[in-house]
Formats: sequence, structure tokens, C-alpha cells
Amino acid sequence: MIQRNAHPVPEAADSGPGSSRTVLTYPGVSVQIVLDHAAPVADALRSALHGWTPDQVASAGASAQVASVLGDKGTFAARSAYLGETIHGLGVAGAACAMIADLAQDYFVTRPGSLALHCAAFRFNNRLIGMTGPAKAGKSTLAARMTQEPDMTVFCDDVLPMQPDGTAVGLGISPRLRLPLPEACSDGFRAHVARHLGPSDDRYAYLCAPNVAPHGTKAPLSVLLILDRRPDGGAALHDVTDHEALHFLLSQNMADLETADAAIARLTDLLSQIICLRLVYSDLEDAVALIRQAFGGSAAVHADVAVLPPVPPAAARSMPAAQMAPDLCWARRPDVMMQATGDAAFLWLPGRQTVWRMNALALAVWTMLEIPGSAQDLAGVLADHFTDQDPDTLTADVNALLQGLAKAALIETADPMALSG
Amino acid sequence: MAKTTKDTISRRGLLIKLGLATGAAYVAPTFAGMDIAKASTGSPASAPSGPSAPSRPSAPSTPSMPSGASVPSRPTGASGQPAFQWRWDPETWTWVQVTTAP
Repeated sequence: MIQRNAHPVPEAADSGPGSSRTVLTYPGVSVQIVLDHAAPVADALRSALHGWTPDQVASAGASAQVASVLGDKGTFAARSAYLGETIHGLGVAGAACAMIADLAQDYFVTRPGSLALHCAAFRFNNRLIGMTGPAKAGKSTLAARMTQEPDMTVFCDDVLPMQPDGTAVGLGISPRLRLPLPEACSDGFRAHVARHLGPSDDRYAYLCAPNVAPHGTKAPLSVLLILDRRPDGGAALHDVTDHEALHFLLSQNMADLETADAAIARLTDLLSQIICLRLVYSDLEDAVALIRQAFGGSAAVHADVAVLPPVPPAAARSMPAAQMAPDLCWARRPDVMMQATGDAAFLWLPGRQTVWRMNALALAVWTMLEIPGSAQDLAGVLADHFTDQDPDTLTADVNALLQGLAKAALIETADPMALSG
Repeated sequence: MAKTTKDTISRRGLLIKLGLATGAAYVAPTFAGMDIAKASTGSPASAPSGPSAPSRPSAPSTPSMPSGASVPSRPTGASGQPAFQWRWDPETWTWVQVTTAP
């Protein structure tokens, strides 16, 4: 059981001969790793990291970002440079993971202008293929499974930094598997995992296969797959709307792009250079076979692989009921920026850091607000299109949206009298 | 022509231009905010287990972080809309998106 509290890792003597403390610095990152009574964690870091060449120094710099591990009675406490607390009761793999997470975060945090996509990625047939998706979509498991393919090179299973010029960088971190493996895993994959099992504890294990790209390996991203794991059914590729693809990139980027304007521009540009598809699957081996078939040839997607229509979006959470009068007159704020993609849109305010995503009907309301009006006015027009809807429901829904837009400062009240004429 | 009628006709024209078809299936209007800032450095004291957990990252605690490059941004809480942010979850040892509920 992992326990957390706010106590820091206790101080100990500096690194040196006979000392129980090791201080490691890694080229290209500013964070320093301090290991105290934690030799197994040092071994784990050596096994799980590929192509990193740390230096052992006498002591951590006075102003350095420090991530540290303290061994105590068979377990470890880890203190992240980026989290303000210490985590106790970790196993070897957990403690190593805490340090590796800091190295990864430090890598992209200290490189302004870089992206950091939350995805797994592997190179196959000279193409770098990223795999992203919601939590538990199977990114790490698929990345680990790809290490079983001798003609694939795994770049990452969690974070893929991308340089300002669009080149992706493998950080040289082994995929990490949650234990136990899913029951449905093939015998071949189980044998592969057993053969290359690296640092592990009762919860997680690193898979130290030879075809993990060494730290610093670069390649342009070619394909982004949005993973969609289902309980059953075969593997299939679906098209992805521009809107959904941009939403995924916006939501899966961990790096600070400073403003919504910059994020939209940067990620729209990235999308123009890659293929984005949804991979629906339930079985790991089916997914691998489909990926090999689809991307193993010279075509963007092999002609024998059908790309199905986009999957309908899941129902969004409904807006909170409005607490304001439905006859209030509203106008768009003039400085709001919009990028409409298909039947949905993104809104943002220049220089701010929030992007607002709206569905088709919200876009319709926004469009109608070109002429200032109230929820009653706008719902009255919508009633012509949705004749089966109760007019009061329409008004309530539009008013709820207007309330949200007003709270987001995207619209402002207008004086209907001042607008007349 | 009364202004109200003129506005209604104009709005109908805007919808037609937008391509909103008469008889389309009704899906209530929704919109949600997404923070485009970097991974949070907030404390995971109330870390959720998944992307939909209604928890807000707490304040950053990184006084020695490099200036400029690592200033964490937060959801625009004043908006009252859901916002998302990245955070390292020590329970699952993975990055998770956290949601701030309206």
C-alpha cells in the first residue's frame, strides 16, 4: 500500500567513497537524482533507461532541482522535484518510476516550444506511429507488445517529446507493464515478457527489450492512432474528424504552449502533417496484426484495410441549468477567436490558456449570436429545426449554454434598446 | 419590417449557411473548457484515479524551478466550466488528466 505524507526525505551525507548516497546527473536535463540507501533503485534505473549516460557527482547542486529516493527497511520513499510531497512504501520499480517520471518531465519542461504528447510510439516500416487515447486504453501494453516485433523500435510508452521543428524524440525509457498481465495475453507475449523482465515489484515491471530506442533517437511523427479498447470485437481503423483529432492533441499535450492561440496553431500544423485514425480493438494480437497490415506497405494505409467512418462521439455531460433570466440579451465578445472544424468548433481568447470546445448545436447558437439576442430569441429560431422538441426545453438548453459562455467571458450582456435600429 | 422579425430571418439565414438541417436529431448544446498548459506540478494529495475525477490540482510547490519554462497554468476556474489538466498520479504511476467540475 502506498502511503503519502508531507515529510521530506531525510538529509544524509554527501555522495562519495563509503557513502550510502549517490547523486546522478543526466545530460540534457536539469533535475538531479539523489539515491540514499537505494542501490537497487540505481540498478533499476540503469536497466530501465537506454542511452542515458549519467555522471555521478559529489553532491547535488545548491540550486538544483532534486528528485530523491531513500531506502528504509526494504521499501523506498521517493520525493519528486515536481511534486511537493514524499511517497513512502514503494517497491524498486515504483521508486525508479518516480525518478524516471521526473527525468521525462524535466526534459520537456526545460525545452520551451517543445510538445510532449501523452502517447506511446514506435517506429515501423520507417514510420513513427503514436498511440494515444483515454486512460486504460492500452498504450503501455501495446507499446510493450511492440517490443516483441523485431522490426519495430519502441520510442516510448508514456511521453513523446517533439521538438519545435516537429521531430519526435525517444527518451530511452523502457515500457512499463502493470502486473499481473491481462489474462487474454498470448503465450508468446508472456514468454517475451518473462525473457526481458526488468526491474519489477508487486505492481509494475519494466520490460527491458533490446528494441527500445536509445535516448535521443529522433524521427518525424507520421501516424497518430487514438486507441479505443472495447470488451470484444475485432480490430478496425476508423476515420477521425478534424475536430476530434485536434481535441485529442490539445488534451494529450503536456507541454506548456503558453497560449491557446499558440496551441491551436501548433497542433493544427502538426495535424496537417500526420494521419490520425482511431484504432478500435479488444485483442492485443488483433491490434498488432492490423497495424502491421495497415502500415506495412508504401501507401498511407494499405488498400486492403478498410478505414471505417468516424465513431460517433460519446454524449457530453450536460450543461448546468441556467440561473439567469432567459430574456437577457447577449452579444459575443468581439475578441473571441474561433476555429470551426466540421460540425464543431473551438473558441479561445487571445493570450489566454483555455480552449473551449463546442458541439454542433452550441456552434449554431454561437453563429446566431452574430446578431445579439436572448435565449428565448435563439431558441425560437431553433424550434423551426427541432419541431419535436419542447420549446421550454430548447430555451432552457440555450440559456444554460449562454450562462456557460458568459461565465467563460466569451459573451457579454447587450442592451437590446441600444442595438435596435 | 420589425427588428425582431428581421433578426429572426437573419438568424435563420445564418443557420442555413452553417448547414444546420431541419429535422436533424437534437443533441443539446454543450461546451467545455480545456487548459492547454503543461503537466501540473501540483500536489497529488487528492489525486483522482482517472481522467474524470472531479479534483482540482493544488498549488504548485516548485520554487526552484527554472523561470519561464515551467510556470504551471491552472484551469480558468472563474468560468465555471469543466477544465482539464495533467498530473502525475503516484497511485497508478502514470499521467492522468484531472477535471475540475463546474
